[in-house]
Amino acid sequence: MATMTKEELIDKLGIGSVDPETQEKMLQNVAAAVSSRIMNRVTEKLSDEDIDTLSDMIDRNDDAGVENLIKSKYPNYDEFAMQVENEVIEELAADGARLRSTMATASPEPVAQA
Amino acid sequence: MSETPPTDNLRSLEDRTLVDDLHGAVKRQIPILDDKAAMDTFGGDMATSRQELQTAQDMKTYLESRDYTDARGKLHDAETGQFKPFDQANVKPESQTQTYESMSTDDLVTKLAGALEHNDRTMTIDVQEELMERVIAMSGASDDLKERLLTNLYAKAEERSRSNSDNPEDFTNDAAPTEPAPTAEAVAPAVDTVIDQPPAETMGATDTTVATVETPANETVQPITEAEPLNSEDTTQNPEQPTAESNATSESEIDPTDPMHPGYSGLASAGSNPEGPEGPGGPEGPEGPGGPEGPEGPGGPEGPEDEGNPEDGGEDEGTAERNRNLDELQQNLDRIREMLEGIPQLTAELERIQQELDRLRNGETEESGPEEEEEEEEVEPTDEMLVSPEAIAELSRRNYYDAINNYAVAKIAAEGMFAGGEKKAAFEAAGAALKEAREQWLSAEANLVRSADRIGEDLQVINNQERAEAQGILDTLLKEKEDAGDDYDGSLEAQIAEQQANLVKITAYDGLIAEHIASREARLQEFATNELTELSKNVDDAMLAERTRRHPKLTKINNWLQKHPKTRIGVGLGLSAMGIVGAATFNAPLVAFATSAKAGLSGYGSYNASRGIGEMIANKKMSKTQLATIDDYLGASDRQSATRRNSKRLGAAVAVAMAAAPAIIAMTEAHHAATAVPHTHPTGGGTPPPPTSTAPMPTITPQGGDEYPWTFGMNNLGTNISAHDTLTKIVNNPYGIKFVGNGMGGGSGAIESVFIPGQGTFTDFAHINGAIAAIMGK
Repeated sequence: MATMTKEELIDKLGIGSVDPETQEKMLQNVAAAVSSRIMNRVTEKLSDEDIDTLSDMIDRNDDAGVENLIKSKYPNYDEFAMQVENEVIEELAADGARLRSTMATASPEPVAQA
Repeated sequence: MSETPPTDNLRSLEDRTLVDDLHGAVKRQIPILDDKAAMDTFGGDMATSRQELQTAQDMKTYLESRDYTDARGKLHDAETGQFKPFDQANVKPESQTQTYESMSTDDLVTKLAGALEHNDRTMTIDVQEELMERVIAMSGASDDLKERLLTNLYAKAEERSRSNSDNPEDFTNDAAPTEPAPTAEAVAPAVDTVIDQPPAETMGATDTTVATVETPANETVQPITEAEPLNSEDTTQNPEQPTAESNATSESEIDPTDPMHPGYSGLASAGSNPEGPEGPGGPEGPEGPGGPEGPEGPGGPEGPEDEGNPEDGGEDEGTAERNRNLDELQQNLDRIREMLEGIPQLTAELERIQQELDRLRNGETEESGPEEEEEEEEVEPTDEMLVSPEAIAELSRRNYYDAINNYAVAKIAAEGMFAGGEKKAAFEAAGAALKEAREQWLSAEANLVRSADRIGEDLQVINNQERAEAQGILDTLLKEKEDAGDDYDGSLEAQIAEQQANLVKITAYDGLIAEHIASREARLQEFATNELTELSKNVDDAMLAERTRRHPKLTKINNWLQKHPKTRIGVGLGLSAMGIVGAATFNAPLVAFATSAKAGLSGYGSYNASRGIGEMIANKKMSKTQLATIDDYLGASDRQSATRRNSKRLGAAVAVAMAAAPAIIAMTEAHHAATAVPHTHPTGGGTPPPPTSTAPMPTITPQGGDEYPWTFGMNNLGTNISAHDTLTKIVNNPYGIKFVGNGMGGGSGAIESVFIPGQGTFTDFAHINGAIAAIMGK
């Protein structure tokens, strides 16, 4: 993924027909979604004790300690972050293709729904 | 001399207050309208205040210009301001031959009394009809007032009838006790009686009939004076005193246009003889609240001034008192006028409220809804709209959003080390429900897009119709011009030019519509990815918020990350390498959603907001200006009503959807969550997930950004938010709003963040305080 270019990412997400300005905004949103996913995963790994420790570190302005502790939860944090990023992008690409396909073949009749 | 007996009838008492006031005012030209009476009379019944004021003004003006006779029977000349003997009694000459129309109201009452007494049904009916017509003709009086007035007039007549027939002893001096009232009244004005109707035409006449004390007329008048408590002193007068007048003039001589005339619409009620010569000792029949209109009766300006020895003269004192009374009346009128000055504003406000009420009423009962072209600016959602693709899509979003939250809560609960099988089962069920909700949402979104497609197709059809019509008109015009040769009207050329311009415009529209249709793929791409990205982010935020709720200190960690953007812990490295680090750069997710969601995702909101009129708005090649032009274009042709209605329907549906804008903005796809659990539908396939019990999100307005929540609560909400009950209410709010911080645990710590469904998590005081205020209903 690290070698993927922006153009490749745009193609993968299936937004090649969108104007460049909108594409940029969409990619920023994708990045925000990745951040949410990463933080969610990070917090999954934090025990109550870790959270207390991090809280104390923050109170002591131990910034390095905070960063190291968080990264220590994963043997290879960068790889972990990359995996999460890929995961999000793959999901968006797959779901996007499906959604577009569904929309393209949508029935004109309203969906029967309660 | 008998006093008017008190009455237990409060309404009658009220009525009499006004009647007595005007009665006395007319008789003595004394305004009895003290403050309380004025308030009761005018302030208490605004519906008649204007009329009453006008009446009082008319009365004052009239009385000032009229001659009157004092209690001694001396005539006061309005022009000279002097009293002069009035040695002739005035006998109403034609009372028997008067037409009902020309009679005063009081005469009619007396007439009615006589008719009742003699059981003359024909006359009774005739007189009643005349009274009824007069009352109905009253302008400015409410129906209720008219009804009461009429009832009172009838009651008064009955009372007089009873008095005449049942209490003959009270009429021992009645010269003609068996005669109908008008006759008696015609001769009544004698000696010390009050002149009932001082006619302008006859009052000053010196050759009018004179009644003397020796005449039976003197005796006749006694019951009248006894019936009038305001003139009790009159009876002490020396019967030897030659009286004046009396003789109320013939009512027929009064100009009907005279405000004092009973037929005058602004007066109507009280009758010409406000004093009401009801039977002696009997209750002075309630005149009803309409009494104030009564001053038309130029009730004899009985000079109250000369109550003492008639030999004393009293002209000067009488004049002085009269002037004082007139001044007092003027003051009362001024006060009433001040009160009435506020009426226009109140009336305007009432009118506005009434219009609003009518509008709401019409809206509630409006069946035609968007089908009515004239109602196109006020389209109310109908059942049709509510099952529109837009509405269904919105419902699906809400269900999906609920499913996301449920899933997040279940997932976090199932993460616990000692989570039992029950929690794990709940998690699986939540995952299945989420997947089902997602399927429903996808289907609804697909139909939404299809609906938008139809807009373009309809536009194209309509545009073709417009073009054909315009071309046809142009061809006709050109043919007409050709046939006319050089002799054609100049306006024809203008019409041709107009049609040619119209065709150019239609062609331009055609191009825009074609572009709109051609851009479908781009719109689908943008729409799909934006929606999915937004949903993806939301599900992670929901889970993180749930986790943070359980571990409040995570908020502190997130805040720390926000303050250390050089750290790249929270961003995808690949995207970061591309320079794409998220709209919020390196904000921790909680904060990221609060900021980037508002900034970056605001485009989502506007995008979603626009979908109701199709995806044209999202088409970058159709600016808002162009869209507005198309909208105008659509509305310009009646033949386009079908599509116009469709647009309106869609627009209304969007309005419905936008009512939950925060939810729309925050709708996120949770594919990873939905696919992470076994697909085991708990309720069977095909049915959408049941809506959760989450209450509709209230409007949350950020406020109190400079105040800590506790301080904000005390200063602005009047609430100690750390109090157990209040805190419980905040924590267990039905909107899914979640706060994080030690303060939420009942401790002394702070509230560090708030998660607002559909909007994200905020750490600023303004949002925290706004959410608290919303939960507290303030």
